Amino acid sequence: MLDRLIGFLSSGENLVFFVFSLVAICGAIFMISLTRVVHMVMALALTFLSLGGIYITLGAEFVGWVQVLIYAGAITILMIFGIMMTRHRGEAETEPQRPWHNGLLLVGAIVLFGILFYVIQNATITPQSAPVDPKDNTLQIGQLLFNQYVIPFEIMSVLLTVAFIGAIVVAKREED
Amino acid sequence: MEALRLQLSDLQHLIPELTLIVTALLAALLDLALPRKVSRSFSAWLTLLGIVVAICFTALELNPEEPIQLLAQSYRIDDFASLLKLVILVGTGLVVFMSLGSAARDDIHHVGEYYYLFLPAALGGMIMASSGDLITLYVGLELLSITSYVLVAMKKKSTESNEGAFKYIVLGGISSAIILYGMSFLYGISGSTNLLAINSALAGSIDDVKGLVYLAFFLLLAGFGFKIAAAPFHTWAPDVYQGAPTPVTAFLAVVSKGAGFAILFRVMYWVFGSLTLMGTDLQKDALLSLSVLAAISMIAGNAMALRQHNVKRLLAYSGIANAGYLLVPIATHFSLVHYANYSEFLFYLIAYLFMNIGAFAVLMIVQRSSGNEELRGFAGLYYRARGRPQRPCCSSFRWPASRSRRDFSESCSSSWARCRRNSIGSAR
Amino acid sequence: MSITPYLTLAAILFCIGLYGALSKKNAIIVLLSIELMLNAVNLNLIAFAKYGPKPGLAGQIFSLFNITVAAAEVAVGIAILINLYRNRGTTDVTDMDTMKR
Repeated sequence: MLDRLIGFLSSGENLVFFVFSLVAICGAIFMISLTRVVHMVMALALTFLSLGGIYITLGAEFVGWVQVLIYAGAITILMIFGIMMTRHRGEAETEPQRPWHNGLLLVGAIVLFGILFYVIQNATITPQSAPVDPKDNTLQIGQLLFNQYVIPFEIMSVLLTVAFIGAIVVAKREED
Repeated sequence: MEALRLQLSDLQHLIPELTLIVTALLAALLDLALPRKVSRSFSAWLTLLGIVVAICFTALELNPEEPIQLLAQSYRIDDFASLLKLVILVGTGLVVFMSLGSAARDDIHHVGEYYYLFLPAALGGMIMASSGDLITLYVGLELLSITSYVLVAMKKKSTESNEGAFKYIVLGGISSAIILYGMSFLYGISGSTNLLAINSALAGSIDDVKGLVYLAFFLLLAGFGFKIAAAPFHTWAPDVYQGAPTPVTAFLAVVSKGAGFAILFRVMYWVFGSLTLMGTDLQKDALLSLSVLAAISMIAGNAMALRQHNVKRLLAYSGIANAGYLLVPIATHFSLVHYANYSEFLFYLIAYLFMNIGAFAVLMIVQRSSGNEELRGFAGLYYRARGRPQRPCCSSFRWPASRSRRDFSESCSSSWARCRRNSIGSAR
Repeated sequence: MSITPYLTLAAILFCIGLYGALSKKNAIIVLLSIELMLNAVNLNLIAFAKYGPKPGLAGQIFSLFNITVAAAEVAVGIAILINLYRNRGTTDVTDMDTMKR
């Protein structure tokens, strides 16, 4: 068991994956268990950052940097704005008033994870060709977006416009 | 890669969608540019005009010589898509029409936005109806969902509307994540996001990844169950329906649900139910789970509707039961003896559209005269409303409802009988 | 390296996100938990894009679309939350019960 672990960690990619995934899981668990809202957001920002690192090791540099910019940057900041604009009395999460509800949910989540784990361990996915060369995949992503995926890309622009108008309309203060 | 480029001539097939986008942008710009004193009702008429033009263009695309497909099957214009688009557009048009003038009474501040946001929502539904690729499917779904979240939150001073919108965005977000998780496994199994490519991968040997296939199916079923409000994934529906402005509730009950069924039909038929998988265990299990979901929805929806006092909640439970009925044509076997599933589905969807929009229109009239949405608002309607338009309206929506339901239940029972006969035959 | 560790990590994050979204009382944390679930999906897609049956860029492009949609959804969610707070003075999910019967 220990030999296999050492063998696993001696490879560079595995070591990076191990460190990043440890940080990601710790961030997620801290998000669940911390008490102050700002700390929870920061813990999750750590998860987002380390996931960005994993994407880069998987040869997806562009998505990795987008992840850092959008998730660790924009969404975290947006959440902090949300916290600042809504006052949190006492700041801390009080004792859960619904121990039964949370206990059942915890059991449900663990059972779901058990099923997922069992299925994933039993599946063997064999690549039919060698992994693609990650070099210059930003250029290729751009070309694909404007050729093969141009319809969803254009619909996405409509979606962003709608979200933008909608967010302003809903959050605007009414003068009357 | 050269072959996968969208040509200028391909745009003629996208004219209905482009009409909606142009109208929405025009309405948004006019709304910004015109001074505040100008009444915003022009927005409603512009929206209606855009929808009528889009209906005409969609009708012209009906019955093509052969299905048109763009960008390697990622966007298809076939009769399945065009008919569903017509249903979606007619539903949206009727909803906009019935909300004419009610916006001010409903305490909606941003009337211009309220009307023209129906256009991108309908656009999302149309994209869902005609996409053949997971990415296009998902983007259309989210366009419809995000617009609906905003529309539900439009009654800004009402706590019920705010709460409904927040519940809707949380549960909608969770269901989107579940759908995506399922889609990611489908992509992992086949290495493609195209529905036909996924289907051919599933028709090959899947023994190595059998667990993943079932996992993807059940995740997708749970996520779509949320979107079409089928029990046991229906818990958001009553609260959201009660909180939203009444025309938006009608929109959610008819157009959102119809588009959800479009995507479910497309995925279940192209990926799990098509002829290439005929008779496999996978297909049998998929259809069985759909039937179980349908049965739970019918029973739970009708049983829980009995104890409601609020008419909108009552209609929400009716929608849950109807989701069960609409699942039946998807869940029955598609075989050489029985291949009319799509026409059965569409027939009931059209009946459901007119029945539900009629019901919500009557509710709006009664709500105006009695001042609340409770069932007791309907008491004494005969005496209060003698000679007023309510009565013909009421009877006209009840009559087709009862009639079409009877016709449908006959066709349903006959397809169940066929289904049972088939399974008995195969058991022997 | 095989794909299993990546899929397992995604499953862990997905389950934590689901638990957080359904059990947390603070509305902002509920929205964040949904983001965590979406991140798990993106990890799945990118891992399949490298080690899946047909390595390619489709998975990366799918995850880019997901990230964009998630950002739009969060913006609308925070807007609804701010409006709700203005009317009710609370962001506690357990207080949202005016329509229970």
